[in-house]
Amino acid sequence: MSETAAMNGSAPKVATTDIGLEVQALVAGYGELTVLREVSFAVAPGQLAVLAGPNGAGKSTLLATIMGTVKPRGGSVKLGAEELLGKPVWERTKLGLGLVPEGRGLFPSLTVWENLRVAAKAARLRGDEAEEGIERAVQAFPIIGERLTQKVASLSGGEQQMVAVGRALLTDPRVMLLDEPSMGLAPIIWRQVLETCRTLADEGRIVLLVEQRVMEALEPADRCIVMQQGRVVRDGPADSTAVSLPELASSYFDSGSQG
Amino acid sequence: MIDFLQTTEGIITAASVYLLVGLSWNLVFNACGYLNLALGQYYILGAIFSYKLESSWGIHSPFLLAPMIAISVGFLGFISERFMLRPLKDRGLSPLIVTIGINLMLLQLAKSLSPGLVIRPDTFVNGQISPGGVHIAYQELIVWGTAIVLTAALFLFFRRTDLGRSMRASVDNRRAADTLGLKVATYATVAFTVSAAIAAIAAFVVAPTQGSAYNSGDLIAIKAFMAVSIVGIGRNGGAVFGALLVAGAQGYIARYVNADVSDIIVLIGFLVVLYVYVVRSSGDTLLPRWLRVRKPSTAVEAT
Repeated sequence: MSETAAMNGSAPKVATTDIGLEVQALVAGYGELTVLREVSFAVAPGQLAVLAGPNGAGKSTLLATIMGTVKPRGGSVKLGAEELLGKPVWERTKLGLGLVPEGRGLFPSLTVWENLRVAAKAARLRGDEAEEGIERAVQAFPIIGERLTQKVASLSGGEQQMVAVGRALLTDPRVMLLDEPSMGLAPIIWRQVLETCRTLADEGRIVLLVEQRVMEALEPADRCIVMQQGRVVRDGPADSTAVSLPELASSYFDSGSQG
Repeated sequence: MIDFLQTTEGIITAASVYLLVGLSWNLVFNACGYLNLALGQYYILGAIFSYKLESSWGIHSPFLLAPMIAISVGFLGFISERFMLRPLKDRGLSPLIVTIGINLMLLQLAKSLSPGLVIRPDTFVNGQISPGGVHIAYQELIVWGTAIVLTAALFLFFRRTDLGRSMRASVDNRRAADTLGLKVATYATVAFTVSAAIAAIAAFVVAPTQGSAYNSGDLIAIKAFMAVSIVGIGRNGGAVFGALLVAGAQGYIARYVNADVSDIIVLIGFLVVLYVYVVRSSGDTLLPRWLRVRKPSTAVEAT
């Protein structure tokens, strides 16, 4: 889709820029269990990177560590010159991280507007900023505007996904992190989500997409990062012929030791 | 007819108390995820503190007493949650057990502060109105009004304020609330504190009408629990209905059947409701086989 971006992504390691997202030697885990073992990669603005790998590879933990809900044991996560580690979630949100969590992470018995409002307040946006943020979400997905007073539980899966993405847009983030957005979506809606991801990247954002349905996700993507057992085992262009190789295939069938 | 209306009037007063204490149950259940089995003691301390402040400090204005009681009992709730329940829960101790321990401690506090078995603080205003021959004490009107105002205030708090909406969100999807960086643990403290204060205010307004025994907190808490769990614990929407149902059953049975057995009948009725509720929602039963409610699946098995 976007040739220039695809070319940028063909470099295996993107050079550190002062505006990109850079993860360096990140180590994290839960209790005794080490999930991330020195994960390093960098994504430049305008890039859509797909993060693939089998269950237990550490993809969701990586997003959680970048977002701040899992405490790292070492390494660094920088957005531009700013070190994110050690900052609370709301501050990272304000600095420009937007997350669409696994399973959407919405509040079903609250209305669409309440969902957006709660997220805006969680990011400590003030009155005007919060209203602007909600306006931004509505502009990105006009259907949200028509559903503001409805409970999220009454929306279709696709509409809920739009609310989840719209909610991440509240702070006009420089980085969008999406965790398995295809889950529970009809193929046609899934395609729209992918188009949205592409648009977000074309607007100059960094988009990091964790996805099991890799082959479809690779089509609009620039980069493909494959993780296996807490390490990056491949980082290269999102060229499906390049990716549909042994690393990916074997990574899906061999491991899974970490549940 | 007058007799029936007078009974109903008493029922509304009782229901007001069950409603307030019931909402206190729900607050903690929703925000903390456990039942606060010490709730009855926070309730009764409202009456006891009010008596103490009147008799020892000479404070009689309800407008001074109400905030003093809400703050002092709320503070006890705050300490209980922040310095006992939360740390012990984090170390793996069941919060139910901790609330039983707190219950025993607060019961001793209530006993030591209480002048005798029954405490009866002064009424705020003496007198009554008698529309159509039904006597309604001003103090009872205050009880009704308190229930209406606090229920409405809670409703507005949860619908109209950012803190209230965030608290509802964290009840709805705790994991997502964590992911957004909402202060879920702080909400638990806030809810526990407010819950203790509301229960105390309920006793503060109702104790002057007929007096309260220092050890009667648990009984009120259990009836309020019946009121909210009949409609589903944690659901504030049906709490008014549940409170009227429990108070109504108890009041009418006491008046027209037998005053001595009304509590027992209501309790049995509650157990039946709870049993049907548990069986229908979980499909599990602890009863012996011959007593079980027959369900299609077991029927097929049996044949």
